[in-house]
Amino acid sequence: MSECKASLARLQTDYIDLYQIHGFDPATPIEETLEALNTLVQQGHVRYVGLSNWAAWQVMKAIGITRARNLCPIISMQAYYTLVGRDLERDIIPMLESENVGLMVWSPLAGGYLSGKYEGPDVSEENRRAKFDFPPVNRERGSEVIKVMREIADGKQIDGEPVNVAQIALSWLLHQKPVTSIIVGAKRPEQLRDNIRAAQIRLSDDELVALDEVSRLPEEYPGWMMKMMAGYRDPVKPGE
Amino acid sequence: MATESLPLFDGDNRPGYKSLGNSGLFVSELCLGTMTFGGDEDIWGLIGQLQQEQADELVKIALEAGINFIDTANIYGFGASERIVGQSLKNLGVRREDVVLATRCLAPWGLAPMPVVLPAAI
Repeated sequence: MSECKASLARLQTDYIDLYQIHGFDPATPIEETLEALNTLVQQGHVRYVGLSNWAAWQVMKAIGITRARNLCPIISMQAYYTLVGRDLERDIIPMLESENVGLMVWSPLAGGYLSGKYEGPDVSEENRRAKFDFPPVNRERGSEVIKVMREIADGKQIDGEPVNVAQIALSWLLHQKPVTSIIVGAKRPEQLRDNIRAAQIRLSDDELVALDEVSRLPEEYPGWMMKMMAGYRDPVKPGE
Repeated sequence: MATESLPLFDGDNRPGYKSLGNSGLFVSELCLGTMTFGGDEDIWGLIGQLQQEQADELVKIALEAGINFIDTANIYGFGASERIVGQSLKNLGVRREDVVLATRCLAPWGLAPMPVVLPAAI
């Protein structure tokens, strides 16, 4: 409660449109957090409530509690998602789709890894990742992904400018149905303009398939078992 | 992954808008992140140390491009990012109702449970 009021003062506003819990706090019961958020909404300090960096089961538990106690709903999840980090497709995305929760993507360029500055095994001392290597990326898999991204970028143009790997990274996210909004940060105006231009890129079905194949997560249990067992429950569509 | 969704780019060189989850809150498909605002000689400084004027420029570019959604967090720059975002919106004369402002908190800052410290004079 007091953190929210401090934020309102710093932001010089009397309401926050979306107030998110930045991570799961193991020291506080979920009920207590959700009751506090509900009070903030009732008092008009906050319009909507979201979560960030929670596990799928934690979000689902919270959604259940908001329904049982008639508290304000959870409308969004902020999570890390990129072509070199598709982990949230395992549990989080199916949960978001099931519950119609919006997805805000943080670090859509994987902490600069997909900016095109980090190709090859050597990372320059100048780069931020040399001091703060985050989020973690599997570089062996990553370099294969970047190769395909570069092939797709080559030959494309927007506003007469060549398309770069970073823009393909953003565009791929914009083509993913569960993604509502992508958070783009920048240090320089040109970076931000570049990122914004990515919204104009259209990827063909073939390009999307190529990106999917090179970046797909290795199968894990229970995913492969569920896929196998659900197969024969798929309704047959007329005409098939 | 489902790939039938296309960017909502509206044909005017601007990003499109979507409702956020099951809500009437319409946000642009790009959101301005502000982790680069207000960092100092600390962990945030590695991300960015943009000051008010540079931040104003980025906020202006974003809003002019059709971005209506700005995300910050109380912890960014230990409060500096939120202060800069709030001031940018004032400096640019943005009407509050025209932007969707998002921020985040985790738990009380850095406080493990501890005894109350009374002022020495009492």
